[in-house]
Amino acid sequence: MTPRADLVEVASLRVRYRKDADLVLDGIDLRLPAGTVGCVVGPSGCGKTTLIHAVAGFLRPESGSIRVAGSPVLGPSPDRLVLFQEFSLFPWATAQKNVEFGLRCLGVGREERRTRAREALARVGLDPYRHRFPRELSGGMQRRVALARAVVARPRLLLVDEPLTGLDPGLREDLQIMMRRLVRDAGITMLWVTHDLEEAAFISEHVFVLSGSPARRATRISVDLDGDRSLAIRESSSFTNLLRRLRAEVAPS
Amino acid sequence: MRRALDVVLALAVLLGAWQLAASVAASAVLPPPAAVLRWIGAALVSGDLVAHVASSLLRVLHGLAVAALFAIPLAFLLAPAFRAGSALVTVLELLRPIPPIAWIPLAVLWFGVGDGAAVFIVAIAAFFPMFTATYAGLRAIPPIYLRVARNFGAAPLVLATEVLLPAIRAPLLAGLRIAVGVGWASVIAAEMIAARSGLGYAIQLDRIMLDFEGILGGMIAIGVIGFGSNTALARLASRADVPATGATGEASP
Repeated sequence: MTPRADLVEVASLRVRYRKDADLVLDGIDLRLPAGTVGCVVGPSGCGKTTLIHAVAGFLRPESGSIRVAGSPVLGPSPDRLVLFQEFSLFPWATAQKNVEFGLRCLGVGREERRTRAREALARVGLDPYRHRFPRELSGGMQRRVALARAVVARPRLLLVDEPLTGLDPGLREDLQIMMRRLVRDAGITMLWVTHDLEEAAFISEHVFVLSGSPARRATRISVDLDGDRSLAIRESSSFTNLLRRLRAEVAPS
Repeated sequence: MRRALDVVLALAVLLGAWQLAASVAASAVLPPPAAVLRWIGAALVSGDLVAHVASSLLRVLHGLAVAALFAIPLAFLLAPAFRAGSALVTVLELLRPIPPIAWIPLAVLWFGVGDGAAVFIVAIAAFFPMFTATYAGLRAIPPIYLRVARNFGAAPLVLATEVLLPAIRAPLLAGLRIAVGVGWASVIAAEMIAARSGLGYAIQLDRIMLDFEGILGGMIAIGVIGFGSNTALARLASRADVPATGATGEASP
């Protein structure tokens, strides 16, 4: 097997929000191979969300470089879509119109927009709910609409910021499996931020553990599990070992 | 049904009180309701009343259109620019306390007696609620929706039609409702001085002719039309009650 190229290349990234504020990220290096899922973990407030927003192009780094697919990140782009942590659907639009929004921005014509949005909603199991407004959907359904809205626009990279917080465990696992399957099928690379180590181990090929405050290192741990993840994997000894290793890495004693 | 009955009852009490007052006062000073209703009937048949109502309404519509043409684009222009926006809002706050009727002398000198002056007064009156509603509405849009639009690379036109306008629909309609109210009040005042037609002109002429029935009939027409337009707009606003913000409780932790 030939080694795949890295889609995301972050080098010596330093970020602070204002000129006189403290650094949030202090010299982070991170490389994520194309077509894989990477998870960024670390204690809360360690700059995970900041990293996602920097790669998305919402913040300008103080120094260092971010390249995606070889091109430097200079601002937001539909090639790098974010699934935000907070509720981000347009409340005035139906599920279908929400999913069509990205396509509208990309200049896709009305008919194709409609077909592709319906397909995307069907893939997240929401075709029967396409005419509902977000407030008429449950929290889990809302996340799935947001997922469909992003995936249908075919970004190269999907940046995911704790998208499943506040959902109960069973629902979280269902959505983890669905999201992983969806992005793999579409050939989208995904960088996922979470504070849940089990989630990280379960959905990713690579876990990046941020450490230091401000974060100085992103230690990469490769996940040696089968590509098709099922709940059974969580019972395996390799999963348990991996989790033990992650725990040790996050909280070195 | 109950409410309609209560309203009819309240109206009957009002008419009764009027009748009583009219029977005490000289009929030349306060004509009884029946006489005024007869006058309204005759004015409707002759077409006089309809013609005056039509020219007042046309001026209001014309003035509202002019106000919207200035207020809404100006608000869109200023809302994203914090410093320029707040500076101009302060200037407008200085102009706002000047009642629209205080502009009548200037309006007459600039536009002469006729439609121009009355339309100008309506536009002045309607400008402030429309501008404030649009500006405040735009400033209150949750930033997450703008970030989503930036992420998808929404062009200005798509941003305006798919995000900004739907997001401010409720405040915009509320502003329009206030604008119609003050516009209607102002057109009557303007016509008393600066026009040769319209309900304001008509009741002013009736004063000179000592036509009490005409004055009261005209006042009733003003009240009925103001009530009707306000009720219609309130109904429109409540039908468009899709909230601009707000997920269901479980949507964001």
